[in-house]
Amino acid sequence: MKAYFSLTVLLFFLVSCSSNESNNGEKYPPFKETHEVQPASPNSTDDTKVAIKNTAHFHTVEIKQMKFVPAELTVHEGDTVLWVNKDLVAHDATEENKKLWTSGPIALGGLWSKVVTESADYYCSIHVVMKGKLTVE
Amino acid sequence: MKKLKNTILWVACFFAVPTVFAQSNPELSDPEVASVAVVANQIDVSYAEIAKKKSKNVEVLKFAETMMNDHNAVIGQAVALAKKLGVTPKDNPVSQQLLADAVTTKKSLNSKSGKAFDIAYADNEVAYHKAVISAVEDLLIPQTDNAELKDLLTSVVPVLKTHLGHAEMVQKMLNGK
Repeated sequence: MKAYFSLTVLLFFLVSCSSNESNNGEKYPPFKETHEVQPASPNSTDDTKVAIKNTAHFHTVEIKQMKFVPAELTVHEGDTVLWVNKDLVAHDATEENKKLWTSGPIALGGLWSKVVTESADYYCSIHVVMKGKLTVE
Repeated sequence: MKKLKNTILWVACFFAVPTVFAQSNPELSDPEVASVAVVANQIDVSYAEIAKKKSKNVEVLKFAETMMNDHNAVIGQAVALAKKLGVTPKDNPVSQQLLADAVTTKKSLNSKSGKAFDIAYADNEVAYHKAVISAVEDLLIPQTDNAELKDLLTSVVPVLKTHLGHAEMVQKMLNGK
């Protein structure tokens, strides 16, 4: 019984280690699979009201003046990227080559987030000349 | 020779919009600037409405949809700002000339169909956005007194430039086929 318990603990330990292996063992809270993030209020993306903080595994791409800022972003596999529309018009973020994923229209002041599992060239399908790039390292 | 003359006339009509801004250097008050801004956006919405009725090209239709949504969004913000500032957009010669030119352009667009329409629409969008960008940068922004109205006009410029890039892409695609 004791041996069984030890084995379970060992297995659990191994699983824990392997799941964090790609992140040098650094612990961070798991992210939910849901990709939709609703702003608490229409003004919640105002700089003065909510400061969205980037961390090692959470990155923000602002959409302003018809650009993704930053246009190129390097992340770890499993990191979350949040797009925040601070522009005058609606935008989206859509995988460019095979249309593997799309945010759908992000309204003014709206947010959309995604767990990134692979590198991607993306663009705004509403304004096709707006481009961005995600690199998973 | 007659053909050349017609071509020159046609080109002159086509680029009537830039000449409005270039030839007259009108003094505009803020309520007049607000009117020009709203009218210029409304005109592009009206071109998009024609395209949505007449075109069958997916890229042209998508572009027209973007023009409708974006220009309506800008109108909404201009109207909201005018209301906040207590400014009533005021009719003026520039707005009137823009509308008169738009009547000519719409007539020309409506007379075409199929690929000829798509090309005419894309060409006009390129020319119109170029004209409006220089009008906003060189006429409207310098003549605007109110800081918030100036800011709004300034932030519209990247939208217009992106539209121009998109229109040029559509134009290139149509000419390449």
